[in-house]
Amino acid sequence: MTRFIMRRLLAALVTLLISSFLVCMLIHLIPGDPVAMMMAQNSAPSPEQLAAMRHMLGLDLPLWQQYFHYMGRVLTGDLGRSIFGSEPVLALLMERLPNTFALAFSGLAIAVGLGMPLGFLAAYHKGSWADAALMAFAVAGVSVPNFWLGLMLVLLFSMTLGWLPVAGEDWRSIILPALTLGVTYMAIIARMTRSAMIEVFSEDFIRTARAKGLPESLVMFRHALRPAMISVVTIIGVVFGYLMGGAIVVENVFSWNGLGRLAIQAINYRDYPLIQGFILLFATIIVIMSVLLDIAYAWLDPRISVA
Amino acid sequence: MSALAQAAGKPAASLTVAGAPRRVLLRRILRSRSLLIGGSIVLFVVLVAIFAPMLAPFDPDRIGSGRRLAVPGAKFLLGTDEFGRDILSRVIFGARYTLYIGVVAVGIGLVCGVAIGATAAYAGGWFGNLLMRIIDLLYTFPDVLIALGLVAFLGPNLTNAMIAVGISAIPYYARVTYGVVLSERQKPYVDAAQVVGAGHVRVLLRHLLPNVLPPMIVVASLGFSAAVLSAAALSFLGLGAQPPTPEWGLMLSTGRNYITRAPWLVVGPGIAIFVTVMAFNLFGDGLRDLLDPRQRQRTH
Amino acid sequence: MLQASRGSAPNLLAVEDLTVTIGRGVSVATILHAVSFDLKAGETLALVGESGSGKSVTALSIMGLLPQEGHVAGGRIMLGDEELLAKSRSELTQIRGSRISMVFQEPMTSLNPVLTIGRQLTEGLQFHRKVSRATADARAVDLLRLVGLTHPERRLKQYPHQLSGGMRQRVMIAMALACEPDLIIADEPTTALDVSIQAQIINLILDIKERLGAAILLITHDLGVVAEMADRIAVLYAGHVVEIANCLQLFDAPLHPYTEGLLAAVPRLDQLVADTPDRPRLAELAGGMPSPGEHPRGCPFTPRCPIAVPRCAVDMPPLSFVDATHSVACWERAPE
Repeated sequence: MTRFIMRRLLAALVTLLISSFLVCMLIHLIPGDPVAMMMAQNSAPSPEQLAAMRHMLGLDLPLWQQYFHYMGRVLTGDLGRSIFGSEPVLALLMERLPNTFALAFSGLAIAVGLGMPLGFLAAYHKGSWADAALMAFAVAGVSVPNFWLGLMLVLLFSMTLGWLPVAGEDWRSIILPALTLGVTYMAIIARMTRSAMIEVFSEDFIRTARAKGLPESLVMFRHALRPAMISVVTIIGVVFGYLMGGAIVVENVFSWNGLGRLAIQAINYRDYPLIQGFILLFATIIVIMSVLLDIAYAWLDPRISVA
Repeated sequence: MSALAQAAGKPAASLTVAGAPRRVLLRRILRSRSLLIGGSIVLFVVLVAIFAPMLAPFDPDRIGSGRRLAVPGAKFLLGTDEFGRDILSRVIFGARYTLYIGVVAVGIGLVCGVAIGATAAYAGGWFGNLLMRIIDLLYTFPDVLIALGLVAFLGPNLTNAMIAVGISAIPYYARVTYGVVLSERQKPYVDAAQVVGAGHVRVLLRHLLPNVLPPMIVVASLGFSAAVLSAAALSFLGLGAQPPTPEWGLMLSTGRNYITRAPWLVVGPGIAIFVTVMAFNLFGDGLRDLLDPRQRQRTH
Repeated sequence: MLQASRGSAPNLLAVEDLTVTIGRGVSVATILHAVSFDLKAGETLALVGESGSGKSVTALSIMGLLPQEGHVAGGRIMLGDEELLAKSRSELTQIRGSRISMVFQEPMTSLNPVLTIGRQLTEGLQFHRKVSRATADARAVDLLRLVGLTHPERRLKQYPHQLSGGMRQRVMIAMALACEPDLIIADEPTTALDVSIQAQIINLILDIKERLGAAILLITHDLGVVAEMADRIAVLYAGHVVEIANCLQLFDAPLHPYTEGLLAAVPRLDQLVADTPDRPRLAELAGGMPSPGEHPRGCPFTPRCPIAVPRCAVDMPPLSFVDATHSVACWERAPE
């Protein structure tokens, strides 16, 4: 097990190194002179100002050195300064991180908490009308644009029914964004759980358990659920990344003060250091989460945990 | 289970599409509800896009076709927007943008993805491995994040959004291609072709491609819906199509400012995205079941 | 000796005219056609046939474990004087694993990979016999010792992937024995194993049968296994029982042309008992068995039969006795 986790940690590290390299190189996608573009908001920067900026960003170095320059800064926690307001990028990001986490994890809780039982029931009653309805719902769920679903929920629950606030400090303000985020991914989780369960149900060892004369509840909860959980953990790993992506959009629908909203503001202001920091942080979160899920996976599967 | 499957499954399992008589194939198409429903809606959207100028009651860009924010009614079926433009006409013309975006984005993703995936699978060795490791790495990141990052630096406009969405989907196409080509490559006919003396390119194009094509059509259909969704999201965030383009995501973005006074601004375009994306998903699902039921797991 | 042991003792298990179909509507196919046989306490009956002949379906029907698409269309299955097909789901639960247990073909996939051997061995005991965890564990150790596993205490804490195929099949047998059932159904218990291990497992089952006195319904396509283990043999062809006889009778004087063909495919009879790697398989018979969908009207063996008469293609012969212990379904060999 330790070896498995060490290998995964190593892989995660490599992932982070490569993504940081890509993030560092993003700056060269900017059409024309990136530094001139960055400083375009200032009225006609002087050549000295441009040179100073170029030096600060390490853009006067050869390409391969730029990365070491960038990583050197990143590893000491220096993600640069926001071009606007000139606050440290890291501080800006950290300020918003808790909000994004709150939204993403409540969305994930809704998606997993409802999606898994629904998928399980659909698999157990495979071929019934409830199964068909759930599968139709699942197709709808993966097809609905989350930003539009958010607007529709606002229209229904806030404006027509007046039950929930759209925004504000109140804890209830998280309900609609979390629901918007959760419902879309709930559909995916339900669908994947269903196929994982159907696969497990057809396994020989389920037949063995039944042949032992165990009651159906024991067959389901002891023999079927745990092996299925192993695939569901993998599913959650896949879904989490996409859910984080969805959070960027949903935050902007509900003016939720998280990283996603900050990112769009940064893009609109061409605040490149901030955008780079945002992408790097997002990638790190996703990589850390996938390592955590790998550990959960190893813990669930004796074929890995009992080497 | 296995005994029953053996007893009853054998004659049925040998009914592959390639070997099936045309009549059987037709019956299976007609029996696949998702393929029929999805296919008809896709066809409908395509027709609407082609005949938009004839179908639209008004010029989609003409300001003041009617009163500002007019309630849906007999003259303006979906109402008018903040400039008095007819929303129905804009939704109809929006179909053109959506299909255009989808085709370009899927085209970029598919061409690059298939090239990378096929090369990696065909070359194998350390090179193929390295290529797929990088693809796997990119695959762990949500496509919205990749697209967002690219648009942020390329600059926000429709062309860049299409490119970004296309690039963000490359890992997906590359992985599927890699899997399919790898399994095809191990089949004897590839070796046979090489023994006879066919060159690498010829083996790839003449022998592998026809076998790889059916799963790729499925993947492209599902990828189309994802691309439409991502591009609409970018436009909604102000990073894609720019005003006054009648693009559905952008229409939702501007419409939300009037959501209290004129909620119809966000209903029509939203349903249009929803239905179009769902149609491509259904179509892709149905096609997958028809062409290769075993693929169900791999492309979920 | 075998004839004497049968006598008039009551049947432990009697399968009467069991008919099973698969599928629904237009795609329905019959996989078992009025299959009948019986089994007395302590007896070993071998059900022999090619794959697809309906052996496993018969076993699953007795267990009440037919998959969803399978359906019992007629007949009775009597355990003692109880009708199994009339039992409710929870009544069947009480019988399965307790009075009838089953050893499956695939030891590699028939054990749950995420549960310990101990848990899988004891859960049946705990449920059926309501014993404490400690008692069940102690019994599990005894069982593992009985099936010849070393370090039984340590095995309880291990997972299936830590055991070899042969060891897993021993665990499966131990599981089947846990509640001391009257009947053990062994579905191709040695097919998935290495040849050298097959002999060990066969000897183990024989040994246990001697010691515990359970009846065994052995399902196999392997004539070698049959010769070593069975008291009686029922030959199944395309869902029909075509011949039932005592083991020696069947090997010495087979009546059904299909059985003859099977035995002719065997190079030398006395080699059967020896454990040769190239054991005769039924599949070596020329031609193929009809699949359930294309079932002919008469005897399904007609197209391959060397002695077929016109009547065979039209009427299925009934299974009729030629002497007290030997019956055959063939117009030519058992005239009315």
